[in-house]
Amino acid sequence: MTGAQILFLVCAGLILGSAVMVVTARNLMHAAFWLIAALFGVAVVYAILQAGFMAMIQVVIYIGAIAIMFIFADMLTRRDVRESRAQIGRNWPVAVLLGLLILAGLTALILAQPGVGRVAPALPSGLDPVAALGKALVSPDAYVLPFEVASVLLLSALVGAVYLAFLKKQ
Amino acid sequence: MATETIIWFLPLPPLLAFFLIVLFTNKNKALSHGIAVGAAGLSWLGSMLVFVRALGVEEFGKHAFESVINWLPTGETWFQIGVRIDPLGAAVLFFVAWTIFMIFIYSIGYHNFGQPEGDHDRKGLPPHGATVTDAHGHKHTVPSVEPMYSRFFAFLGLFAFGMYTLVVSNNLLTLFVGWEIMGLCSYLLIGFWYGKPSARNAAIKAFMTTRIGDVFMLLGIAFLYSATGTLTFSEIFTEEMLHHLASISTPILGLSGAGLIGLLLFIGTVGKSAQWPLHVWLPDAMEGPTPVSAMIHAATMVSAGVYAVIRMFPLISLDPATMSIVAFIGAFTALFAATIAVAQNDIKRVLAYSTISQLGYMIAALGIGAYVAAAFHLITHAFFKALLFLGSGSVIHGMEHGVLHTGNHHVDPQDMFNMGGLRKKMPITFWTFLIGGFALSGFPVITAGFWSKDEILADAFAHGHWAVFITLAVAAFLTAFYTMRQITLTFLGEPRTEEARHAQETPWTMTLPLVVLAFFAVTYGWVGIPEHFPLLGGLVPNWFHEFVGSTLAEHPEAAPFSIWPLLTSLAVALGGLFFGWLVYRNVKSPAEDKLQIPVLKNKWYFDEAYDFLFVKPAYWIAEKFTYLFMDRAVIDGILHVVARFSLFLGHAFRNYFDKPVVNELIGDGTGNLVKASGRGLRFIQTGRVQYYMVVSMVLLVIFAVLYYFLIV
Amino acid sequence: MTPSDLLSILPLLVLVVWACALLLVDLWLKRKGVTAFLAALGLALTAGLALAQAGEETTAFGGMVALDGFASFLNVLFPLSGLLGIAVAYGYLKRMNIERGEYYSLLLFSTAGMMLMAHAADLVVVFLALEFLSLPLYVLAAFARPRLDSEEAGLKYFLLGAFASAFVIYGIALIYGATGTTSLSGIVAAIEAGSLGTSGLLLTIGAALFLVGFGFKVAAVPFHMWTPDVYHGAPTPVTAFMAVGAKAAGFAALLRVFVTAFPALDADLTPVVWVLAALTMFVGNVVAIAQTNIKRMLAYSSIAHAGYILMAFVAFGNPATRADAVASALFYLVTYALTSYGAWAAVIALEKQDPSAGSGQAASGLEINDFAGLGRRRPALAAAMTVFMLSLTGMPPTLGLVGKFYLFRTVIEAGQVWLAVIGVLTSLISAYYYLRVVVVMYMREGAPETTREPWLDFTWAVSALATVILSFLPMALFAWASAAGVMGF
Repeated sequence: MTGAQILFLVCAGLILGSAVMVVTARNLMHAAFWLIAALFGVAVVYAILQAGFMAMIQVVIYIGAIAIMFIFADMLTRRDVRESRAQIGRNWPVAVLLGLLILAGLTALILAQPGVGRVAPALPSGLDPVAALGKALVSPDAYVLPFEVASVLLLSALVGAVYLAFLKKQ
Repeated sequence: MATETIIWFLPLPPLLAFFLIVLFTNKNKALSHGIAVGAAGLSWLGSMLVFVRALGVEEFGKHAFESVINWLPTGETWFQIGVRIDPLGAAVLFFVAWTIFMIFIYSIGYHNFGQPEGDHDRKGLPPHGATVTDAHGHKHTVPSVEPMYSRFFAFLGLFAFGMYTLVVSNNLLTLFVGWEIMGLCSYLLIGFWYGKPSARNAAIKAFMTTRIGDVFMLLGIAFLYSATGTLTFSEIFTEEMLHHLASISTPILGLSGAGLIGLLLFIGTVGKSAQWPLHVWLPDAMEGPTPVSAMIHAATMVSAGVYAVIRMFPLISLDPATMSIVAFIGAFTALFAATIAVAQNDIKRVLAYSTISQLGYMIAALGIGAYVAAAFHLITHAFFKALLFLGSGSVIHGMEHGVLHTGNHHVDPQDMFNMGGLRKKMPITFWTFLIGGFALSGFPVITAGFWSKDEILADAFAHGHWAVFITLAVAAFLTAFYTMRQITLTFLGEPRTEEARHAQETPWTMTLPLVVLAFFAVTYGWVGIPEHFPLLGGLVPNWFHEFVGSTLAEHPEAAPFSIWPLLTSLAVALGGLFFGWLVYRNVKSPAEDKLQIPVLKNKWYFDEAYDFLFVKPAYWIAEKFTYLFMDRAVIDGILHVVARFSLFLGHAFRNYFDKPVVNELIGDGTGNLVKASGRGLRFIQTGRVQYYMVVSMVLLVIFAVLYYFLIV
Repeated sequence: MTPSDLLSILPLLVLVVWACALLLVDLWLKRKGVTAFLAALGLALTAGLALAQAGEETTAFGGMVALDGFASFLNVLFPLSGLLGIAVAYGYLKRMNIERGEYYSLLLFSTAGMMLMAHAADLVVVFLALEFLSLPLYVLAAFARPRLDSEEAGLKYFLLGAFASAFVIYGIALIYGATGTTSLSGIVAAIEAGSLGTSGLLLTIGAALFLVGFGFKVAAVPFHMWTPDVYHGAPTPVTAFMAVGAKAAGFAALLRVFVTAFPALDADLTPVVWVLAALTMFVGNVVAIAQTNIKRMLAYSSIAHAGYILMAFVAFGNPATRADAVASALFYLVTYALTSYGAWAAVIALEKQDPSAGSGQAASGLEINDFAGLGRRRPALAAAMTVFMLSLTGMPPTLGLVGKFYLFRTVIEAGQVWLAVIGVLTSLISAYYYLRVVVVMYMREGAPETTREPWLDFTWAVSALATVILSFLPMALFAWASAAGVMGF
């Protein structure tokens, strides 16, 4: 067992354990912190996979922006952040069943893929994924159009959000 | 503008007029008739333009105006529709445009435009007259304006649209569409005064009877399409296509495919052109306003039936058996209807039977292969019969004046025995009616009817169709006889009633169309004088024969001249007119009329027979079998089960999907919302969406499992 | 980036720039009517540019977008539907006290998203276009806030939309995993190379998930349940725009992706689409019978029509009928767009300003029975509504008949006679609830209060006229749709 594998197992444990805590913690604030832990675990997994950029994005966006927003939202909207009612809905058996089914299906699918279990070949040296990604994002023959569309998309979402949130005084 | 473009647009103005009047201007009488007459005028103008341009084309039969567009995709190809004006189309277009335009104008006067509203006129009943007080304080009763004036013009517009569509069509489908539109308008206009039970019944009778023919016609069209894959005339009338049709054999009567299709289409004509045995609706259709009788039931719609047969002539003429049937029905109808006309006293009914008889003439002509003669008679007849109907309307109008004057509403203004001596009171009507009547009788040389009728007789004679020849000759004699009877009873002698004494000439809107149509009733015959006619032949070239004949691939031979048919037609026309005058110059009342024979008076009891044979059994079947057994027991049973099931499903879905959401949240409009809002809303709302998602997911999984087991 | 790249998406570019500019300009405009006019001008300009592009065929941005008959057909349809969306909204927004400039810019953004969808030749662009057209619609659905039903509609639409997006993106991920590319031409190449192996299953599942995701978008059964709530709660002009635009865009994506990239999956997916179409037609029409609220009835009717358009899909893998399938689907989209805009406009004409606006009361409780007496009160409007109902049923003399005829014929030619039979039978069922509206309008006494607004009247009048006239002269539209049936990438 290599060091990377050990690291992966630790991270996997961290992710799953935190994820369970996210949905079971009674205190919403605690749940948010557990979420940060889970997201961080994912970032580490990205790093193990040599996807440095993804790892960074994960930290910056998911932890830095989204999780923090959750915490702010919690603090701003509720006085009492503890959940007093039952944590589990009536439909939980269905949900569990569905979840297991999907898990089983995905596992079967992945196991059926050729090359499962082989060690991934090392990336060729001299390749700078971040630079390549940066170039692809602005190259007209690659992703400049989706990139720009995404920006306009966010603009329209912003306008919409402002409209919905901003109540005209009557 | 290109001629084809004009042809495309010919039917449109009347249709637009219909919609404009119905939707917007129906409150304004002047605007409504302005729009309608303007539209008819536009179409008339376009038609004349097309006609004149058609005259200027060399060998027009080969270079007809035609334009097609792809309409509906049918697999690899398109179903095409288009317009076509060939020599036949141009000739028909000419008389259609003139008669329609004239009748539109006539309708203004007929419906008393400019007169005051009636005292107690109701919608759905003819106007009863209005009381006005003049400057001296005298009270007069004057005709009142039709209460549904605008509606009448709207219907006329729709009808004109149908007729123009039929004429410009280059295929059977749009022809049939026009045909059916006219059928609908005929129904609406016969039943225009729907307050009268007789008008209602007549409308239903006309609709049902023509429907019988239409069903067969549709069958014929369907058969034709399945056999050839096209309904376009120019594609059907090719050598190989006709040959192919003639070589199909059918199980019915041993007819060929062409023969059967021809027969089915011809049955459509039998209904539309009121041929025996489907003639019963036309006399009753006289319940409609007189312009309607003139336009629909004399000049255009019933002619459209004959036109369809002329159109399909290359197909129909392929099978001699079908041709014999056509000839028999035509000749029989011509004679049979003429005998009935002799004993009718209602001025419009005489003309109705006369129309049936004359249409029979044309059909018979087609049955013996006299293509051009039939077309010729179709056109001359349209002119003089429209003239006669409008004339009769004018007479009735004049008589109504008399009725309003005397106030005796028991006098029937349509009964010829109440008339007499009207020539002095209504001179224009008299002279134009006389011209129309003489044309109908075939008065020699000067009238159009003579030339067209003579040509049919000459054709029958030349080709040795003796039975047809004799039948038609007898019918022609009767025609002249009853026409003169009508003229004598109506216009000659002395007034027989007080009302006739106070009859009055009608306004210019009514007399102008009479004069115009009278002009054509005389002159139109001169374009078709046979080449070898004594003295006159060759002075004017036989233009009509050359022109219309060129529509066919093989130019039909003009019948060789013979003196016998000429003498016959002279004898029957003059003889009929003379006897008609001789017998009726002194008859004062129906009792003195020797020809009021019950069997003729009662139209050979056809209505009674049909009532017994078809109507009564139909009612019986409808009541006992269809209603009580089929509908109530079987169909209702099935329907109830289906309906209950559907309702159950609908409600189940509603209860399952809607009720929890709507009733708890939005309260189906109002209601529980306030209760549910605030406290419950946030939770229930998110709950609902989750619920939607869960249902979708569960169904998705079920589908996936089913898919896996059933298909993979 | 070459100028030709930009030129090929010029209408889209103009629209996006126009929408951004409109956002700014609107800040200084006191009269929102000017904003509406400017927005309409932008849409008209876009439609004109798109029309000028007809007949061109090219790909741009390294194969991300395609310009072909299909794209230029839809790129005319979308701005026109946006124009109608403005025409029906102009008076309505005033009446409901929600006249805000954002309506117009959001509508423009959403239209731009739809146009991008028509161009998309890469799954990444498909996904972005989907979000681009949906996000503004979520906001528009909630535009009448603080009215609760409108807010609820917006939230529901958003949640279900996000749910659907998840399916789409999951499907795209699996497709990418199987083929190693997101471009449609790349997917075709990968399939044709035959080197997929067991990844073929992955591809099929990816395609199925993609279908499910868009099934939500076009409201196919069983992914339709959001539709009545959202259509009912959203401001009616938004509903009209949504029913036409979002549905058309969803079908645009499905058509483009399935017909160009997945014909090889024909055998696997045709039964799925078959069942989906049959179920959608059946459930949509049957449930519509039980509706008493006109907006909910029309919502179920829109579900049913999604089923009819889905019918065209069963032919997607058949090379002989593929072009016809696309053409008939596009033709039917135009038919549905015209008719349904007209019907919604008639609904808007009858909707009153809610007396309790702002109190959270539902304002759109317009019942079918509220149409009673319309035949007497507003004969022209009633006649137009009759035309729309006939057209939705598929009866002559309306475009609905021609559209259904073309659709059923394509399905029969593709060999799916039974599906066509189901289509005809469900149309028969639909006559029941469509004609009920006609019956109520003409045969029940009532005194409906209606609004006369020039642009609203214009919309229903033009839609009705077009529905009738085009039914007699559909050839130009046929020819155009047929030209659009041939897709480049």
